[in-house]
Amino acid sequence: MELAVDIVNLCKSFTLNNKELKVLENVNLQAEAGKFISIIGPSGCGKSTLFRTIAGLEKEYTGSVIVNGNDIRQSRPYIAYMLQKDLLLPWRNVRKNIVLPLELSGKLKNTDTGFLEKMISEFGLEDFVEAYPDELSGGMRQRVALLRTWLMEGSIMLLDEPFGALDALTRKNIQDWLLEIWEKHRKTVLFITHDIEEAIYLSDEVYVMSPRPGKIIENININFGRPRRRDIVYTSLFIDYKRWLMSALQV
Amino acid sequence: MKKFINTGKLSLPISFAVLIIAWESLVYVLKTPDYLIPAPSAVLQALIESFPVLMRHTAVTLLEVILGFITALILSVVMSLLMVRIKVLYQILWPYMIISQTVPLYILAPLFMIWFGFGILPKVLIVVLVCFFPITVGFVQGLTSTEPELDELLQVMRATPSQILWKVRVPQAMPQFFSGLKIAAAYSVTGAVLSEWVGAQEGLGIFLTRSMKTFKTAALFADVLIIIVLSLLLFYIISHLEKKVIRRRSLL
Repeated sequence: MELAVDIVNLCKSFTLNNKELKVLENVNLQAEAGKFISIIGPSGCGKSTLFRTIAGLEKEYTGSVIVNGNDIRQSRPYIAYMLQKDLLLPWRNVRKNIVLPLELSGKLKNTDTGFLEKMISEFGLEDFVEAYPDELSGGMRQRVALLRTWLMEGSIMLLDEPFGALDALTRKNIQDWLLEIWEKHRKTVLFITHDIEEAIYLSDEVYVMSPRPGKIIENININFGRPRRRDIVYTSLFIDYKRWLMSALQV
Repeated sequence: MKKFINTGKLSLPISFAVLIIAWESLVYVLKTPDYLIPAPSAVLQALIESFPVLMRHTAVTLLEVILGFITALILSVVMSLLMVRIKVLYQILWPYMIISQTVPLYILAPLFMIWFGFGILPKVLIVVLVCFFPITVGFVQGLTSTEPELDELLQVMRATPSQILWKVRVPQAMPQFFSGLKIAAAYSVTGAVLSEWVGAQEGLGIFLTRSMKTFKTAALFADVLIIIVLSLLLFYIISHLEKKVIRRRSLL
């Protein structure tokens, strides 16, 4: 299988009050193209730093990060990146927020409006295109932000706790919805979460990181078929995965 | 028990009417001489009598205000954008801008008159000086207050610096920009009047000094009334423009 992301011996440290603070230590991560991969770990373990490095926002590190066969030091990769904060622009309506990445890359004029409309309705936003972010619920805003991320260039999506701020019920709905969309398009997704069940339910593979300095301490494949069904959460295999991951996280 | 009457939009006109009636009655009962405090009716009479003259003066002041305000607006926008793009410029200019605000206007006004004569130019310059600071402070603050996460997202989207400026920073700065404009609008008329006070051929400020020197207090009040109306009008125009530009409530 082709590797979308290949991280080898990634080390990263910050200097804080003249002291060196190790954030990532020998992180190795191989993501096959088209897979959904979750990364779980305690707060402050460096998950977000890992993403920022892949996205090209952190320049100082040792080891190598290869995206689609290219070292990101040589050629900056095209990555779609999304944070827990939706970061929608309040003065733009939903449609204008969504097309921002196309507008910035100058591709908006050449974008097929039919394709845009199709994506908007696939994301369930067709009734909200004229609405402004402050008129939408938290779940809706995340959908808008996700579609905007979807329209960013690059076949790899980094989702950094995108549903972290949502209530449990909204979160379950949006997980199902994300799976449905992802299964149609099969982009490579790297997904950070605190939620073990979310990680198992969504992913093909789960990486567990240790507290700082962040290391990969566990890496398991999730052997449920696709499309996923919500009732797998009641199976003993699901419980086994959960027990395994919880013991790896020592919770 | 009777419910409170919902006055809503009427509360302001009612309070104003009460104030005027109280003022009028007090002046009538206490028989206050007109040169001390004229009754509202006397002010109205003075306004009507001197209306053509007042309007001529108003036109001059208004011209100074508009020329000064627009000049300040253009200068502020250009300077703000330059200072945001070129950090050194900001570091050099910002202290001077603050210093320019610490010199009292009633010292600058006669000085400008000595330098630039009795015509309209020194007045326009005072208005520019008065308006420039609030507009620039508001705009620069709006342009530079950013969310670090949004900056990074834009970086990942490979936005160019000028895209970031025009598509994110400028729209984001609009509420603060308009706050500055409103403050400037409120100050601009006062600035013009003050500079006319020092020496001018025409203008509300010179009418003011003449009325004062001849103890025509009612005419003086009429003049002040026009200054108030003019300031409010400018403020209203800016507010209206603001609503056109920023349609979103959440931004205010």
